[in-house]
Amino acid sequence: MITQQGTEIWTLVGVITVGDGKWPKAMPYAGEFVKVGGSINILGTGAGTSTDVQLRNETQAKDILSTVGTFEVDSGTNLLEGAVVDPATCSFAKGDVVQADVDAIPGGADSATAVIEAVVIYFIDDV
Amino acid sequence: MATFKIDNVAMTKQPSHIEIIPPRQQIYPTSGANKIIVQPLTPPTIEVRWGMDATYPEVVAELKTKRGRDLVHAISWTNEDGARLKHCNVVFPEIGSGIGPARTAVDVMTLTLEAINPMPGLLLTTLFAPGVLTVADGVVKWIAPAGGRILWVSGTIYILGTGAGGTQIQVSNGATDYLTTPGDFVVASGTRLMENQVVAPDAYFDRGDIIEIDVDAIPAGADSSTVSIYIYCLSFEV
Repeated sequence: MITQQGTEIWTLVGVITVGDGKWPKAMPYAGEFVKVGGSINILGTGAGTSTDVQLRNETQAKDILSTVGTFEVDSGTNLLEGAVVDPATCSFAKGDVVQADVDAIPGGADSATAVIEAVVIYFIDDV
Repeated sequence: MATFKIDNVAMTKQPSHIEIIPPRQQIYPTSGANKIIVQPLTPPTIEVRWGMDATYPEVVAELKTKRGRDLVHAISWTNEDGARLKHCNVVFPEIGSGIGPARTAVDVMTLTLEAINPMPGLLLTTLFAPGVLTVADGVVKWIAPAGGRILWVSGTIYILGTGAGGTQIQVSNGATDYLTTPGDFVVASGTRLMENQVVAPDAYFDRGDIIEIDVDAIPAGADSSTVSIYIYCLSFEV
């Protein structure tokens, strides 16, 4: 077994709405999350001020971020801000399904097309 | 006490001490009584020590079991902040034990592990096909920057579609199919994840090969849409 680092991507397609399980992904190996970032194409408008994204290990029923990441409406960079990986829930098993949950959207309901990127450590057991 | 793991499994007998020893500097004197100091760019050595509270035979037995017949293993230990783990690939020497001066002695044991950067390394590629899917070869393509081997393929579909059948995906280099069983996005899927895919045991590709996603089938409603295919490779150049 070796350990290797990689970047996993979750893509939020089109206009973003509040809801769980936006983009499920089965993890190919056991591992753990290190950092989470992302970018959004359209920030959206209105009160509510942000699109909030959580990464959730659906198999283990655990949120991976202790502080959700936000795409602020007034962001100058279109980058995900404030996401904090919870060291107590960052580990996952082979085959766990991890999904992007959208917890909030701006008042204009017009934020769209985002990519969530997570740096992960894998334990590769088939090499 | 820190947590020490081998291949992501904690040891029953935890070590008392873990130390990272960087490669020794090379010092060359110069004619002007000065020195040139060279820091080798080689990985460090990890020293793992079991103290007096861990009996030598038990530690050896556990290490022998965890090592098995594999030379390279991943070790992990608790970071300085106590919350996260450090991870390192190491060459794991064969473990043995001899009879010392006194068989009942509780000894201190140190295991020296050479850290390595394993080759080939992991390479993740996401191929994204937006919009309504139709049966076709090469709907998304990727030029391999180095040779490699595909370890695993998975995927997520945004809209499953309707009607009989499902969306079926093959990964190929235009000539060779890498999935001995193609991946399916079944219309009735509760997860929207790819199912049934089996990667060929010899799924190798060369530098410059064009890896492509082929849509082999779609549901009768012809309305499945927007798919991401994740390809996990070992890259022969990192």
